[in-house]
Amino acid sequence: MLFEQVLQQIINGLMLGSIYISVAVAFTLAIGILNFLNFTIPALYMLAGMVGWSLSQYGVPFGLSGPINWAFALFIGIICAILASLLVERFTYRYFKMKHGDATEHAIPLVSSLGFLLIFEYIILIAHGSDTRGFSTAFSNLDWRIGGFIISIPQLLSLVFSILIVAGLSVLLKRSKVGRALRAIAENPDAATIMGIDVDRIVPIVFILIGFLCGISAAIFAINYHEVSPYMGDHVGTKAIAAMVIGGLGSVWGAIAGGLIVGLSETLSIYFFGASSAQITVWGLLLVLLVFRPTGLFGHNAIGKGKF
Amino acid sequence: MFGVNFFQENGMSDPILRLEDISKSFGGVRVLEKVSFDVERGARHALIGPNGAGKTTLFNVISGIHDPEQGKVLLEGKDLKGIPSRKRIKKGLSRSFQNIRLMPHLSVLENVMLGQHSRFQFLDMVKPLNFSAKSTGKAEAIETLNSFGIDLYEGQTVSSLPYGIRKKIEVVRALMSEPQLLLLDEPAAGLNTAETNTLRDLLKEVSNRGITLLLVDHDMPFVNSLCEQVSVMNFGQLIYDGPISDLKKDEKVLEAYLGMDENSERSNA
Amino acid sequence: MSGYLSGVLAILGINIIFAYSIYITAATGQLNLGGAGFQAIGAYACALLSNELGLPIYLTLVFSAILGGAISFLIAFPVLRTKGVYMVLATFAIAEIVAGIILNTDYLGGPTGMIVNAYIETEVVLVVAVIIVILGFYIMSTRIGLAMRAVHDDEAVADLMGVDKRAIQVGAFTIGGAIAGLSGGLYALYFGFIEAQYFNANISIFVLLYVLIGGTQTAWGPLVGASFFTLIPEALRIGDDWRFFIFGVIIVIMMIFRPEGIVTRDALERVWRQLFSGKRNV
Repeated sequence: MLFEQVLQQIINGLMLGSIYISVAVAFTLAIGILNFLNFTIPALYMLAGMVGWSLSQYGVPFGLSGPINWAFALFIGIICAILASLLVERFTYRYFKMKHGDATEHAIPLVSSLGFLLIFEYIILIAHGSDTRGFSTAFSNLDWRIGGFIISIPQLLSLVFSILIVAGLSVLLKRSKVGRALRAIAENPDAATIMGIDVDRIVPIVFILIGFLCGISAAIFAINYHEVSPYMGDHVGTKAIAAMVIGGLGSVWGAIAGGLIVGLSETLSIYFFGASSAQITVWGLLLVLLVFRPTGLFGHNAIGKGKF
Repeated sequence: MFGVNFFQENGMSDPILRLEDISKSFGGVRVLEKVSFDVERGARHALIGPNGAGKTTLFNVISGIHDPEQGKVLLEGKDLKGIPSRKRIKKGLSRSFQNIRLMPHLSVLENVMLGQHSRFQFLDMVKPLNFSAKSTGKAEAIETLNSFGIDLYEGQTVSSLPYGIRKKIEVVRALMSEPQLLLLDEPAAGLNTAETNTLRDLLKEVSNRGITLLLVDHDMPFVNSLCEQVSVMNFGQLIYDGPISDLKKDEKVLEAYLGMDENSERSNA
Repeated sequence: MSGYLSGVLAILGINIIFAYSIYITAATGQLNLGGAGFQAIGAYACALLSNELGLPIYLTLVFSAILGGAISFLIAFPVLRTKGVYMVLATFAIAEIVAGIILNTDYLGGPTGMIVNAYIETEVVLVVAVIIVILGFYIMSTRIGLAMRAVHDDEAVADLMGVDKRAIQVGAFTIGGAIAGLSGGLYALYFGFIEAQYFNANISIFVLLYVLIGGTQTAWGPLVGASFFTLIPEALRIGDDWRFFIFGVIIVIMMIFRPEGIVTRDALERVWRQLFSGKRNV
């Protein structure tokens, strides 16, 4: 009996992890390619979810339309996340020019991304207030029962979908011309420019990917858990950062592994030790990793070497 | 009984710096290969070689930034092995850097005062710098800057100052620790003729105060006019060590330096 | 003094003290994104000592500083092995762990929080704030402060100049933790009630932002930053949510046009010259 319960929790944990995967990959792309700890990412996730909900509830603002079908609304939510991400690129990353290379200077993009986090989070709070909102979609409670275990179909599909998207991304980075350009930029942005890569046009692609991943993740969450809230970004953000660190900064597959591990540890920790314990477990693990094995499972030393 | 031999046996004409078979690799690439030479006390000793010969790496080994895989660094006859880089300045070693490394957010005076750090005890370090000029070293720093003709540029941080001035400040900073041996990494790089002459005069004066100079530079006329001894490196190895006057006759050096004359002319332009 | 003004000044005082704790480490080149954790440690220490042992206020405040400093010192060694983004994440993790521990410990009130039995007036907060500001200026005016700023600008060269960078970094981290603990103790005593949910990521982020926007080049920075972001919203009577939205906009604009912060050394020099023409600040 106990074994089965634990196994069920493991399944739940993996499903939960699927939410974290995409956001973790977004973080890891920003750090790995751009050396940028992008704190706006949780807000992008939240934007997609809240905008999707708002459109499906009220339609376009200023009465320009009636309530929009949930799927289309979520789709537009994803587009919003991408556009917001591009705003961050335009006003945070593009302006940044390193002059002295000391620690507080490296923090400038990070600080700016915190500014955008506040902007996006509080726009939504001002517009909609702080309540959690129910979000009904076509998939309600489609469960698959196998031998006493419950696997939610939407969650399973989400997990598969997340992994496929991220795997596709990984292939893109390895095989395509854009991917090679991105890896060159990750190695050495100045050398990349000298080699003829138009950095100013390639970098926005990373931001588009980041927005897309956050949006997809929010859509998956909304579909599976039937709710969104202005604080949904906060809940996922810290977990996704933990997942990124566990997997290793800059590693896409690491982020997948990390996401699943975080989902698992969170669920198991709550099951065995109670609701609030998850925080200590996840962050304790993180701290130990950061101090003793900062490269995580799959990361490599180059990232964050020296100052940032 | 009290001839030169006595003094030699008692270590009084020992070289101030002795490098014995220094070897170092980075990631499989051999950067220094059994480099050995002496720098005599009070000498003006040049270390030259084509780019990538390992000169700055050698400086870094002497400073303690890197540990050699083999070999010893002996300062005043004592092995520096195991002595962390931070403590070497107290042993009388000071240096300047190839790319100027002044603290960009500190003023001229503050940068120079940083050089005095190793001479101060904790109790003096907790005194406010603006109030006790003498015991905090501030007065001495101001006087030194004045004696070298460098304006204090009060209140300005060094990042906005011209290149030549910053180069000079770095040398002054290196002097503030009252070193016995001064390592200078391309002190004349990027300076025009007038500035180079001023630098040479400055270094001559430093040398006259008894400080040993070991300098790396590519400006051959400058090196020629200042130094008497020279060691030449190429591909991590020492290929010549001796008086600078015999340098041009050495075959190995000529081979390594084909086109050397063109290089020195270009850097003077 | 009206209750409202009194409240604002108390918050201002606590924010200023908290800002100096982060400034001391930022001036040394380390970014601490876990300030709330140390503030929480100080707050709960103070609350416990007041409630359980009935210690007088001044003693509890001293202990909250000592405990904040002691725990900072202990974790300084592992944390300072990390660099840059890793350090930011490690300090963030620490704050989360502290909050998590408090949430899980019923003795500390768990999620319901804890009431503090002693109470202080605004005046006490302001006096302590003045002391800390003077302390901040004092430290930065010494050779130790010079060494700190050298470590910030170029660690490797500072080391070669003989600066014990490990000692400076650990020292700065410890003093920062002590001051943060002190601010937590003052918070506990002034508001009379503390809960883990208050000492969250937002608090840590905001105080770091005050310091970076104020400027880390001089000891004026945290004073200006904390005052600016505490007082301006009150003065303009901006409501809660809008205030943070505007805060966000200001941050983005500042990072584009003046990333080194409001108060820089050069700006300070120009102000000095205008105020005291003739007296120079080298």
